[in-house]
Amino acid sequence: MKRRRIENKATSTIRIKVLYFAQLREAAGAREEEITLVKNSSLNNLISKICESHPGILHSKKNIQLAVNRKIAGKNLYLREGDQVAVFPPVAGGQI
Amino acid sequence: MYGETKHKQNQTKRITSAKIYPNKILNSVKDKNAGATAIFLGTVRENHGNRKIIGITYESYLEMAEDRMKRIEKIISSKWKIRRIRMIHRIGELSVGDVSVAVAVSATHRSEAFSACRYAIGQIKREVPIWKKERCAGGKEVWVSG
Repeated sequence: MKRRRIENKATSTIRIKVLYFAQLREAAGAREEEITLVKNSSLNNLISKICESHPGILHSKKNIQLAVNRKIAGKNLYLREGDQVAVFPPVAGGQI
Repeated sequence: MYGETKHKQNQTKRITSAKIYPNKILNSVKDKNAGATAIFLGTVRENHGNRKIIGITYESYLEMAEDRMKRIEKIISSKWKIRRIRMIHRIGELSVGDVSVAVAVSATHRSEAFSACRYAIGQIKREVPIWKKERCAGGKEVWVSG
């Protein structure tokens, strides 16, 4: 019985590797960290959790770009165990 | 681009912390069938508006930046008849005058070389995850776009 509970717990969460860059790395105070989420969490859920633990990022929330496994992703994307999520400011142009 | 050249292009690093030497970049796109070679160099300048800059620190999401640069090269090869292309961006702490980014394109004629080179630097600025922080005289540091 005890073993069964542990198994359920193990499969009800997913671990995500989060990478921070530029201003958001400074706001987070970390280059990377592992975050555990409940299964079927979206990028939006991840951002909420990140903002809770790193309030500095909250100020930049509107200017966050996200990539999942090196590809730009929308906030409604559902995450899977082992996904690598990069959190960074928009990549922007410069003057011509 | 064909065969061995294409293979070598895939192995080449496009993001580097080492100094960029324009001559090396030009040599890397040499081609006997090229009648034109265009090169673009981005350099760290001393002023930004009223700010006096002593240097810029570039930071990158390395793996994604490499992917994006390769993708841009692929698109360019399909859009223009070029012979060879080399794109490289430096990261880390650069000083005023240092080359931060270089694009060189060789082609049969100048029109393709110019167009591909211009497109390449535009796409690098638009798509490749690289950020820069200006180090100003007086110690202030500012993240800026582009």
